Formats: sequence, structure tokens, C-alpha cells
Amino acid sequence: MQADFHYYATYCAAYLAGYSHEEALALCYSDQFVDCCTKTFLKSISATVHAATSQSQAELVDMRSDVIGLQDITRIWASFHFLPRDLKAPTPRATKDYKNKYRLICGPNGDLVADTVELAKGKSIQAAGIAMHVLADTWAHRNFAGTPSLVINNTDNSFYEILPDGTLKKIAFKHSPGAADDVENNVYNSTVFNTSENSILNLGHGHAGHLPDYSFIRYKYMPAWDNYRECLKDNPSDYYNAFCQMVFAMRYLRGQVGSFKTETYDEDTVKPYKDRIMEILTKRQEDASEDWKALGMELSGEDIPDFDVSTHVEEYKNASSEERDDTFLGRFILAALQQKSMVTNKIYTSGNLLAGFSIDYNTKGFAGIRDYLKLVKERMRQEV
Amino acid sequence: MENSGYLQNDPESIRYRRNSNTLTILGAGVSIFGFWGIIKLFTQIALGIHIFDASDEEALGDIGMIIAMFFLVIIMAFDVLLRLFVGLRARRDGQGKKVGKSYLVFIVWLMIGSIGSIYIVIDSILQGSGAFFDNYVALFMELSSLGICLEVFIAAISVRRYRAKMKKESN
Repeated sequence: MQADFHYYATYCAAYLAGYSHEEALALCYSDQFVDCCTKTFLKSISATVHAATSQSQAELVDMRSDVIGLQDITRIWASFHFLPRDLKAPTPRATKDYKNKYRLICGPNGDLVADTVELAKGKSIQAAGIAMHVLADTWAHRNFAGTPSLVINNTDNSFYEILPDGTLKKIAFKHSPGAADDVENNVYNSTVFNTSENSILNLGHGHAGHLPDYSFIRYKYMPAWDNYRECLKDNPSDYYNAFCQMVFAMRYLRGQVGSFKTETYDEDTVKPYKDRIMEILTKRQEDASEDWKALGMELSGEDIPDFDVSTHVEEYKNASSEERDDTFLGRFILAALQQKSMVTNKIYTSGNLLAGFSIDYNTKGFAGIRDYLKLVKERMRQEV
Repeated sequence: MENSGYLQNDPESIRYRRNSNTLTILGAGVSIFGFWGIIKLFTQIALGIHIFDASDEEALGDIGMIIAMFFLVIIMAFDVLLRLFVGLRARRDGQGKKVGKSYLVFIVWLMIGSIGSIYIVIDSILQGSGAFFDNYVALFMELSSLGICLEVFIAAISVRRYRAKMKKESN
């Protein structure tokens, strides 16, 4: 998903869920900020790099592909962009290495989505924004894993778009980093094939290009992990489900719903706008920001400023070290660390070391994982 | 999604895609195996290992050896070209491009050749002639070559049957 959904559509969903204009803006800003909070950015504001929620291409190229590097990559991408659907998924006749990777395949309505929403309950608006980003991406990024793996994330070349009239049109891929997609002629940019199992080029949905990020497209393809079975990706339907599930989740976070259950969508609240939303979702365009923005402004009657990554930087930089955690970015950083810690812990306790070690602070006490020292300090601060 | 009319996930279609992939990958394998004989010959020359039995080489003399080497090179070139032909055709077949049936006949030739080589190597092992380690490496390579050819042959037949069935159904 891109800024059109993570920022503007999330604003609409938040407003429909009952948040005020200002709250919805803060929430959708946090949602979109998940794609911008890289180690490079965190270093530039002198914040802990362990709160990184994304990695730039330059950072990925610079990453080491040893165990430590791969665990770092997996912590970021599995926690925020490719939340695993089932950490106990059965995989008959497979090696342990393959099982571990297979179980990180992203998908909607897994237990971790419920855990993510529960984690954000009673926390900051930034935590809610992060949870909505993670939830929405489980729909867009389904069938790919947030860890470098050729055997999971590779695809064959037979991608076919299913046009609105039901006919199939071949999708072609080119490998020109930075080049724009040609939506009209069905030529998209994708990652070049690399035979190395753990190459960065085999992370996430690179081999499918930006297809999972475009709301309008319906296509079929063959993922490497599904034993030569074809797979249908219906983005308009998935994105609509994501929108309705976000509204439901945010109503839960606001206390309007008693409990958050997966497979539950607040279609009643969204129903009056369904046609308009489906029109936006099915419109053949790379970026639907303008349409979502127009809908958001109609809903609230307020102007929605464009996303600017530096909006809250000065506030954070100018705050004293004691006050930093109470700034917008400070709360975002804490929420990001909590989400990363939770997902890492769940992966680790499932017997999977791909995201590294995790020690449950509640039962073991702090045992020296520097990544999350800030979380421990925050907990102590709250206890005092 | 699974019941969508757009997806072909019946067992036959899945088998067809698996076999097509087998043809593509093992087609490359057959081509690469063509160079095994050349690598072996050059290694023997470089390491000063006898290509023929020492007694045979003595009996042939210099002129006889040149003629024998000439024929050996011709046979090896033929083997390389044949394997390249079969391998590249199998790859094209796996990629769904139009390919004639002739390469299937040549796969059978290659399999017969491999069986003959395996028989000779096993005989050599049983007779205790030749270097012990060389014999086992040669046996391993020939068995691998035979296995690959057999798998390509089975996959090619299966792929062709599926295509013929699809063609018949569409007519």
C-alpha cells in the first residue's frame, strides 16, 4: 500500500470510526510515517535506531546478509509490513528452515493482527496509527514474507491481469530500478531474479513489483511456496475489506466495541460510502491520493494537509531528553518499539529464530537486549 | 478465491506446470552434462593420466594415437552437440514454445548411451581395472545423466499429453 491508502484512506476510516479531524490526522500521519521511519531518519533526529519501522533502498543495499543482519531485516519487515498470518502453520515434508520461513508468510485475520490491535488499545494515537498500517498491509501484502527468501517470495513470470470484463491480459515486468510503471500498457517494474536464498532482492513482494500496492488491479500469478498452484489477488476487494476492518478496529480502540475479533468488518458504518469507495479502489491509477483526499474532506469538511515527513521533527529535536517521549515522534517511537518487541517475541516463542531472540521482560527481567532498553525505561518511568 | 473460474488449480494443471518447470530446469542440466566429457578429457591430459590403457597406447603408436584422439574428439563433439540440442529443446518445450518431437528420440539415444557407459564402468569396477576412485566418479556422473534424461523424457511426454488434451477440448 502507498500513501493514498495509508494516509488519506486511513483518515477517512478514522473519521468514520468516530475520531475527530485532529485525531484522525494524527492517526493517519502515524500510519503513513511507518513507511518513513528508517534508521537514517532516526539518526538524523538522534533517536534510537532500534525503533526503525522501515528501511530505505540504500539501507537495504548496505545491510549484511549474515544471521544478525537477516534478523534485523525480519524484525522490521515482519513486524510492520508483512505481519505473519500463522506462526504455527503446518508444512508437511519440509525442513525446519523452510518451515520457519513459510510461517512468516503474511496474510489477513491471523492471531497477530488481533494481538497488534490489542497492543494499541489504551495507548497513544500513534500506536493506533501503527496498528492500522500493520492491519492494512496484511491485506495488501498477503502471500509474501517479510524476510529475504527465494523459496517463499519468488514468483514465476506468468502474471495475468483480470480486466473488469473478465478477460485476461498478460502482465510484463522490466527490471529498471527507479523507473515508473506503465499502467496503461501493463508493464511494471520488479526486482531482478537472484538465485541467492537470502538475498535482499528476495525480500517481500519485490518479484511482483508494486502490483500489491495498487488498489485497482486484480491479477493471478503463481507464488513459489504454493506447489505450482495459481493464486488470485483481488486488490479492490482486499482493500475494501481492509478499510472496513480498520473502521471496526478503530471503533474498538475508541471503546465503542467490546472486543476485537478477526474476520469482522464494520460494513454498516461504511455502507453509505461503499459505491464511492469502490469507485476509488477500482479506478485505474497509480496513486489514488486525490480521490481519497476529496472523500476525506467531504466527510469532515476540513482540509487535509499533504503528508510531510518533517512535520514533527522540530518538536522532537527541541524537546529536552525528559520530554522527548511525550512528543509526537517520541510516542511514535515507543509504540513502534512495543509493536516490534511484541511481534519478535511471538515469532521467537513459536520456536522460530528468524527474527532473533526475545526475552519476556515480565518473567525474566531485563537480560541485556539493548534494542528494547528504551521500552524497559519507559515501563519504569510509568511505574514511578 | 479458490473456486474462482480464473484459477486452474486442478491436479492435472498443477502437474503440467510442475513438469514444464522440470523441463526448463533439467533442460539446462542436460546441456551442462554435455561438457562433463570435455572437462574429463582435459583434466586427464593436464594431469598426465592415460586416456586409453597404457598397453593400447603403446600398440597404437604415435600415428595411431593421433587418429584415435581425432575420433575421440569427433565423438565427444557429437555428444556435446546432441546434449545441447536436447537440453535447449527441452527448455523451450518447458517454456511453452513450439518444439518438434525429434528431441525425444535423441533423449532415448542419450539414455541408451548412458546405460552402455554404466555397464562398462560397472564391468570395470568388477574387473578391478582402472583407478578405483575414477570408476566411482564416472559411475555417479553416468547415473546422474541417466536420471536427468529419464526425468526429462517423462516430463516431456506428460506435458505433451496435457497440451494435446487441452487442444482437443478447445476444439
